[in-house]
Order: sequence, then structure tokens, then C-alpha cells
Amino acid sequence: MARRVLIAGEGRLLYFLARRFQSSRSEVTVICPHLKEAERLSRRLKCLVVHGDPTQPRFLEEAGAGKADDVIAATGRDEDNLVICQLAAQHFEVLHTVAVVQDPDFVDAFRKLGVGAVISTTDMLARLVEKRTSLEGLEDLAPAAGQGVIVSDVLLKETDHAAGHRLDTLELPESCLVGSVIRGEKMLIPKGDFLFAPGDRAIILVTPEVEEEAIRILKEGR
Amino acid sequence: MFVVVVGAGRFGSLAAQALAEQGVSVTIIDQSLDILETLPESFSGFRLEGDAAELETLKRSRMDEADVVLAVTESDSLNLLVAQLARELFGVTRVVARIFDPVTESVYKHLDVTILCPTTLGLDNLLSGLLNPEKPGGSNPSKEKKDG
Repeated sequence: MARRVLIAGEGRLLYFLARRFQSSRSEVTVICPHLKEAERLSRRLKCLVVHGDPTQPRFLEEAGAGKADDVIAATGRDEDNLVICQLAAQHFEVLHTVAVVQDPDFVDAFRKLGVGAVISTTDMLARLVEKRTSLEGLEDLAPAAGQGVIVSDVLLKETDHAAGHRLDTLELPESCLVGSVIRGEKMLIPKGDFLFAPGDRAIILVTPEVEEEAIRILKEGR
Repeated sequence: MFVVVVGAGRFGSLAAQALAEQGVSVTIIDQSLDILETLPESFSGFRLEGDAAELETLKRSRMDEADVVLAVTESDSLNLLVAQLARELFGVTRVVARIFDPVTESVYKHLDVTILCPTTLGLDNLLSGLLNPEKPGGSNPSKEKKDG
């Protein structure tokens, strides 16, 4: 049976979220507090659009919160998103609630107050940018480290050889160093007994002559 | 005693002034400096300009040291947010939240927070006044005072 997803919010975020869930064959319902926008949405999205304040239980009820599998609160106000999720969880017994927050400090606080998942767009964007600049920083170091050292970022898939193997069992060429491994949000510094896992990103420092060989060994084992 | 009042509307600023006059140490938060400046100069409390929907603002008010927090902004959601953070995150023992919507009030009854619903209070007051007119001032304390 299709997942029933209820999305409360406004603006383009609401529209694109609704479209995204529709394309994954979820049964989407939308609550929007602005009349004009709700009318426009109901023409553009082929789903039930409720016009009303989603922090009021009666509009959540009208939108079928009692039968929803997921409730996503994506208004522009953190306090509204908290109340929407709490009403959904406590009053309508919705199992999965997601709140979007502007203030990253609310991620932990809202989880403590009973929201299933809390997404901070601020945090996500900042992490993306920081991750990129930290890699760029490595790349900038390369020329200083000696002529022609390449920094390469190798994603290890489940089917790749290194995933599930210890670093010291891989026959990497002499002039190749696994400088660090990015696992989820952590940056690890591997020693010889380090065990690679699927999804790891190996950041390797390598000379151009052996780069291909090094990547092949990580991916295929030889 | 130290009280943090969140929201300097009519209710918040009157409450803050009344408490300050009783010698209570008061911090009042509002996002509008203009509104904070409408408090009389005689107000001895501390005015804090900031968005109550930002955790940093509440930290800056030293909410963790408060004995009482009054969440009395114009928004029910914001009051519920502030009240729950005061209770659960800052460990404040006495927390009051103003909730206008009686339905929302009933949903949040289980919280360890005193909920002040002006709609319900006003309605109860009006109804008991209308239905028991012979009881002298039964529900209108100010009138009772004048009469007495």
C-alpha cells in the first residue's frame, strides 16, 4: 500500500517536497495556511490540498492526519513545526514525524520533545560547504608536498574489494598513502589494522604514476 | 526570585511591571526594540531584544537560572515552544504558557506547564456571570471589590 505522507508548509519547499513524494508513489496530502497558494497548489499538484493553519488540530484532522504514515512539518517557523509534529505524534498517533528547523540548536531539543526526526537546512548546507573546502584544502597542499602528488577521493562501494578488508592486507604501491577515511560524518585517520567498510571514502595521497594502480587495488584488489 | 517574561505585548509588559514593582528580578524578551521601549522608564527589569524562536536568545536571558518563566507572546506555537524548552531543557520549575486556542490547550494538558487560556477563562467567566446573575458578582472580582 502506498505510503501516506502529510506535508504542512508553504513556499517552494512545500511544492517540491509534495512533487518528490508523489513521484515516489506516495499518497500525498498538503496543508497550506495561505489561501492563494493553497488554490494554486491544488491546481498544480494532483492531491488533496487543505487550506488552513496546520498548528490547529482540526486542519490536521481534515487532512487525514489520523491515517498518515508520515507527517513532515516544513513551515518557515520552527515553533510551528514543533507543534505540528507534537500534535501529529500525540494527538493523531502518527509514527513518523519530521520537522524542518532554521535554528540548528533545535535539532537536539526537538528530538527531546518527541519529534521523530529533525532536519536543519542550515547545518546541512554548512556541512556540505565545509566538507568541500576541507577537501579543497587538501588539494591545495598537494603541490607543496612535492611535485606531482595527487589527492584522490575514492568512494568504496559494497562490491569494491577494499570494503571489508584491512588496510595492511591491501597491496598498495609504495608511493601511496591513505591519508584519511570519511565515514558518514566522521573523518578517520587509518592505521594498518583499519578495516574499510562499504560507503567509506578513502582520501589517498599518491604520485601520478601509480594513481591508477592504487585505485584499481582499492576497487578490484589487484 | 527571578522571572523571565517572553513577549512584551499588553499582558507580558503588565506582568513584568507588576512583578518588578514587587521587587522580583525580571527579564523581559521581545523581538521588537520599539515595543520594549514602550515600557516605562521606571521599569527596573532587564529588557532583552531577541527572537524567542532562537535557542541562543533564551540562553542569553539566563533562563536556566529562572524560578518562573511566562511564555506570553502572541503566538500559541511560540509559547508552547518556549514553555517546553524552559521545562525540559532549562529545568525551570514553574512555567506558564498562554494558549489562545482551546483545542490546542486540551491537547497540551498533559504537559508539566500551567496553561493560561484567555478564551476559556473569558468564556467561563462570561457564562457563569450570565447564567447566575443573582449571585452578586459571582464571577466578576473587580465589580465585587467595588461593591464590597
